Amino acid sequence: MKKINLLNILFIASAFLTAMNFTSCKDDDTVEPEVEQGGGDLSGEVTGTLKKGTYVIKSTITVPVGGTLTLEPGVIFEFDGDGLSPATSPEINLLGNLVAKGTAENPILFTVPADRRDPKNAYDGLWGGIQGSATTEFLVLQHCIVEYCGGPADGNRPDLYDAGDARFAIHFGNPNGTMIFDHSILRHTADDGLRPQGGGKFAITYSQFYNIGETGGEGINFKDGSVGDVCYNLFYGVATNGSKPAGKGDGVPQTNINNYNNTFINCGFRRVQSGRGGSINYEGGAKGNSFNNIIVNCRFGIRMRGDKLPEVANTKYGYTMYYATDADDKDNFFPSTDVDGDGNRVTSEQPGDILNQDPQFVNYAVSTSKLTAMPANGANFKLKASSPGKGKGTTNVTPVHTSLSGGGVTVTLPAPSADFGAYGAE
Amino acid sequence: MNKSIAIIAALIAFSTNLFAGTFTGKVLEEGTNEALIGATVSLKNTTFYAFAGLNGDFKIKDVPPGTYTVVVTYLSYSTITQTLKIGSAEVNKTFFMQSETTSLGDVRVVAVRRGETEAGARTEERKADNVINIISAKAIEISPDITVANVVQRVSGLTVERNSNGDGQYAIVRGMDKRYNYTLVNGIKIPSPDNENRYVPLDIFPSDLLSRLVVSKSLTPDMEGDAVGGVVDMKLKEAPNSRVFKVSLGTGYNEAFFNTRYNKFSRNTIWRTPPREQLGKIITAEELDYDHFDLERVQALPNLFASAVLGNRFMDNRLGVIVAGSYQNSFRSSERTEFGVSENNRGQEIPQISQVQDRIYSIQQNRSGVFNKIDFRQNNRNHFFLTTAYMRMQNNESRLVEIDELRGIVNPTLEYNSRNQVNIQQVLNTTLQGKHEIFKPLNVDWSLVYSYAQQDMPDNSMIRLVKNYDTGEPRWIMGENFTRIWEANSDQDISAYYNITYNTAIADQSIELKYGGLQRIKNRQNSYDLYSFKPRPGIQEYDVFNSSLADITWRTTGGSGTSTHVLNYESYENIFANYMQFKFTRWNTNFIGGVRAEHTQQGFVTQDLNYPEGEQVYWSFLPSLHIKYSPNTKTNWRGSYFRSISRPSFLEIIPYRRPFSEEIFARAGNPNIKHAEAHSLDARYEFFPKPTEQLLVGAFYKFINNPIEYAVIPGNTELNEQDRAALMPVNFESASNYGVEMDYTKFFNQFGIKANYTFTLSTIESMKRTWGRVTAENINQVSDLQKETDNIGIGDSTFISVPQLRPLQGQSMHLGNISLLYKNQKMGLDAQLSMVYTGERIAIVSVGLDNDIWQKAFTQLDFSVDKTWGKIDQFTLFCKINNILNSPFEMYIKKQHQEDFRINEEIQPNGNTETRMRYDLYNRNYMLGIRYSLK
Repeated sequence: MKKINLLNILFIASAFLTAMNFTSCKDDDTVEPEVEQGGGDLSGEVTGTLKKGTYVIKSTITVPVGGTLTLEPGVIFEFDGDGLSPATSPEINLLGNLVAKGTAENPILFTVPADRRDPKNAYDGLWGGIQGSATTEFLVLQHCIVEYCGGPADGNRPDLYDAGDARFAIHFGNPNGTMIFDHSILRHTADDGLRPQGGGKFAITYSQFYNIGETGGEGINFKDGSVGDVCYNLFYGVATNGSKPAGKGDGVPQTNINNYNNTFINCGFRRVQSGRGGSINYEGGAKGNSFNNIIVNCRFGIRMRGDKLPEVANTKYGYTMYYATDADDKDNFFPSTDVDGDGNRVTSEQPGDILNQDPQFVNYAVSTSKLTAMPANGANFKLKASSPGKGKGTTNVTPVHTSLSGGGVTVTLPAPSADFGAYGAE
Repeated sequence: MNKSIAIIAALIAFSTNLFAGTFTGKVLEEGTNEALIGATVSLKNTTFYAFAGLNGDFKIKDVPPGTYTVVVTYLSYSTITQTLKIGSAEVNKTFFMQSETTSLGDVRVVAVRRGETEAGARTEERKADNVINIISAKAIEISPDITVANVVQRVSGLTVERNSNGDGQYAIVRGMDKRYNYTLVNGIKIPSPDNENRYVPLDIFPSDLLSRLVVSKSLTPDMEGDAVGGVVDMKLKEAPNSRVFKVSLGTGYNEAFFNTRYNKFSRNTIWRTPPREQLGKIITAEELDYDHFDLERVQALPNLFASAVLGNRFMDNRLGVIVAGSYQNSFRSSERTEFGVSENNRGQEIPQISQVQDRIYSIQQNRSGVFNKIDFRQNNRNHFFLTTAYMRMQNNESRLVEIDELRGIVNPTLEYNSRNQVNIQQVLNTTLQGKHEIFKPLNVDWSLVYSYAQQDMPDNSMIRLVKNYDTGEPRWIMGENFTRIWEANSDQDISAYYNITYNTAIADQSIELKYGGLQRIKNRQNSYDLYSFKPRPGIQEYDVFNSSLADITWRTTGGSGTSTHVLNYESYENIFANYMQFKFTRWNTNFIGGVRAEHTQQGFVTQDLNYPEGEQVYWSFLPSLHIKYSPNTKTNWRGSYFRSISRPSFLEIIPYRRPFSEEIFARAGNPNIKHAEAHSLDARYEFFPKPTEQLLVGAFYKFINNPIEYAVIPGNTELNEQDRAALMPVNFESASNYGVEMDYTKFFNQFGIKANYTFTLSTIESMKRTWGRVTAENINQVSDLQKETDNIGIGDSTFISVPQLRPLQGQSMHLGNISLLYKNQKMGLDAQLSMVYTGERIAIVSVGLDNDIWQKAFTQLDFSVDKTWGKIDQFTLFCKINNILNSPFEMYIKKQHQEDFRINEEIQPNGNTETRMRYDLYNRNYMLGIRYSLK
């Protein structure tokens, strides 16, 4: 028993390290002295500020309407769940607001007890995730790790889930609310990572999404009413798409998402259904701009779903770096599944696109199996100085928002970089 | 003793055939000399009898010479008893029967198989206080119909809504949807086994238990007031005047099984109650059984139909007993093509085909019914009746669906799903009635009723398979989620009815005053228990016919069931009603009217803490007046007005929400929904030239306030506080519905024709969505939310609500029935060719402008033939063929669909002008059987 714990601790430690490695942040400050200032069991309604410490959650906690829960750096939420039923996979029922502002050194964890933190449990949905609602004004996650969630739903949130459906790791559902996901990691989820079913204003920056979804699930599955930017993120080993701005054609407001300077690797291969996407996917009346992205070994390139088109006139893309080792995947840089009435593919090569040239990551072999769901420790997705993608992007992209604020945190949307991908170039 | 004499007599008759006599003659109505078709001529204490034929002729052969007492009976005519000597020569005699005095609607204490005959049915129609139509047991017996639902569609102005195997299920009366009608058994309202609605599925009732089917299209004050369209009353058989024994045995086959197999599943391993109740803990996938998911292709067994009726009278005819049972076991197969369309995508006015589904149904229908009625005449002033009826229908349905999501030419998304569903519906009704003459002009009758209706859908689960092309050869992979649902509901009604009738005279005018009431306490329970599992590992291959589900390994994701789901609810409805009614005749005119007051208390308690309970309480005052002018005994002119209501269903007032993951909109309940109120006007001319013939011409007009229809309500509004739009029942402002109808029956010697036709028009205004430019005129149709958060203003394009007039859902402009009858008394032959025409109508109301889904006009042709033989006509061979034309049942949108998404013209033939949504073929059904009847 001890042994396993130790292994897990090692694993977590390594996860932290990788997390830090991935970020472009280069702080090498000495780690602050470990002082447990808080901790204990949490249940029922929770508001106020929680100090650093480990908090065990055995049943769903609720942040009430109008209330705000603030987490200080170093808070660890351990959800004691097994994923076998809705009641035994507790969640954060977020009727109010949540501000989790960690630091690179003291990130905030939303996880399970240490003995269960094993990637072999990645898709078990051991706890329920962070379930925002129409009354949530802001959800801020900065320097956070959210993992092992996606437990089954109980059927009492019929706008979101059928009973038994895996819950989304993070749900946000207020078109007038703000969600910030910055310098954070979302991984090991049973289904969708972030799903704004009810819309919202988004800044998704400098974050990582990996090992998302067992046999389906998107990194971010934007629905009607979602407006914002996805930039400087890594999507790795996502079951379906990394980022999917979608709608049902009746959205108010219309889904409008920019995806710029992101890196997509090994996405779209854990899917029961074929032909559902693998990197970026616009559909159902959504719109937005996608530039300066790297797409490596993904099931599909940027896709506009042919039978459920986005608002094509206002969906712009280009300056994309495509690479695949597999011939099938090369053939789907411009997805073969989506054709117009004349049999021509809906998407096509655009100005600035770079096809079939190794992007030359600092420490990552593009020959790595495309079925790999997690990047190895020490992987570095920054481009080498010799990369064909260095300086070849466009800076002619305007973020949807200049900045977003919530719970006292303001994120200014970074300008696009001419270096392709999320981590710049040497 | 009598029996053995009869047998000996028959034997003698047989052996002394040469010396036997023949007794022939006619039965006519006194005064008019018209044939009384169906009158019974019998020789008392023997088994000899005959019915009068189309021209009143009868013939009894092989009668041993002797002196007999001849008894001639006919409904509502005085019985004739005569002594007659029959020798070896033919004896011919004409009987003239006198009509009983036509006292209007007296409580007839011993109802004597009234209406089992056609003539009886016509008499009852003629004498009725309100506008009714009747189908007699005889007509049902010789018709091609084996369930009440199929009988119903022969009535003028009535159509049926079909279930998945093509059988009628719900009645639509004069274009008024099923929610606007109610169903009675012997005048008592019965609860529905349906899980969402109040209307009773008529296909669970075998037609051979009926003595007649009465459809009332107008309501008198003594009838319950919640029907706008009409009331279907199934009158079950009454204890006979003398011993009756009838059995019937038949078999049949569905044509589809000549060249396809029946997809069979075993039902032995189905858990009848939820695992939560059985194990009392969180369950895991390994603890459940899987055998009933496996399918096997077998040759379908022949169908079996059996029924028996046994009745007699005892204690000097004071006690009458009848017991009847019916059993039907049949196998069906049907095919359906269904299309999915995306309608009203942003800026796309015309629908786009997004999915094609090929469905194959294999259905075993097992229907049984037992019924018993005892009537006891304590003395001439006190009578008691005890009726018990129990109906059960079990549907075992295998449904295979292949779905093509049409996502392009390469690697199309294909899904295959298999659902084996067992659905058991049961209805029990027990009624104790008493009728008392307190003193001469004062009569009292009462009923105490217990009813129970239940539906069970244990382990209702679907295996979803997905075609996967990602590695090498395409494979069928087990879908992501596997849910197993136990759903059950039950209704329990306890009711008491009472009526007091007082005959008096006011200023020399005799008048009947009636006062009465009703108290009903209804409790309904609904339970919904869902368990979910995921295949683990995520990718596992499966083949519906060659794999066994037990070999798939799972991870349990929902092992606790869903005891707090909002669909675990109890609802109740307490109805308290009182009425006063008067009736008198003056100037050859019958006036009946009064007022009814109904108090409704309808509410619910759910297990979901968000919606714990709710209640609606209100009074309804429902006046009515019915006038019938009868210048002679053959003619009636009728006019009537009645006011009535229609209550929301038990589920509709619960603020539940069903997910919209598979549909465009969530479905939701509406606690604010009000009951609809309607005013109905009727006029009808009736002419009955002969006892079995008729001509009815009528017109009707209905105006409905607050009609309940489904509409998409945007989120964050008063009605829908959630942030997503939902499809909800709401009160529309008003609707009107009017039309004319005609009903005609005529016999020419051996041929007869029965025809009816109904022309109906209705209008209701509903708001539809369309994508368009915002202008100064329509800016107020843009929601505030859109204006606020999407900055929609003049000049922008967005969804705009547009009012559109349309007919009521389910209303056809043209409805027609025509039956050709052939009757050859000598050969004992009855044949009938029946056609039903249902004109096009809206099947599903869409949220998009001009996107309603219509059902195409449908013509069904059925044939039946009966051949009677034997010394006393005790044997009947019958044959029924249903759906001779194998008519396709088709639904469509009256609009072309997008050119880029046109598909195979064979399955979508008129893409330039319309969009097919559904196409069903139910195949022909054949049935052959024998009836034995002992008198």
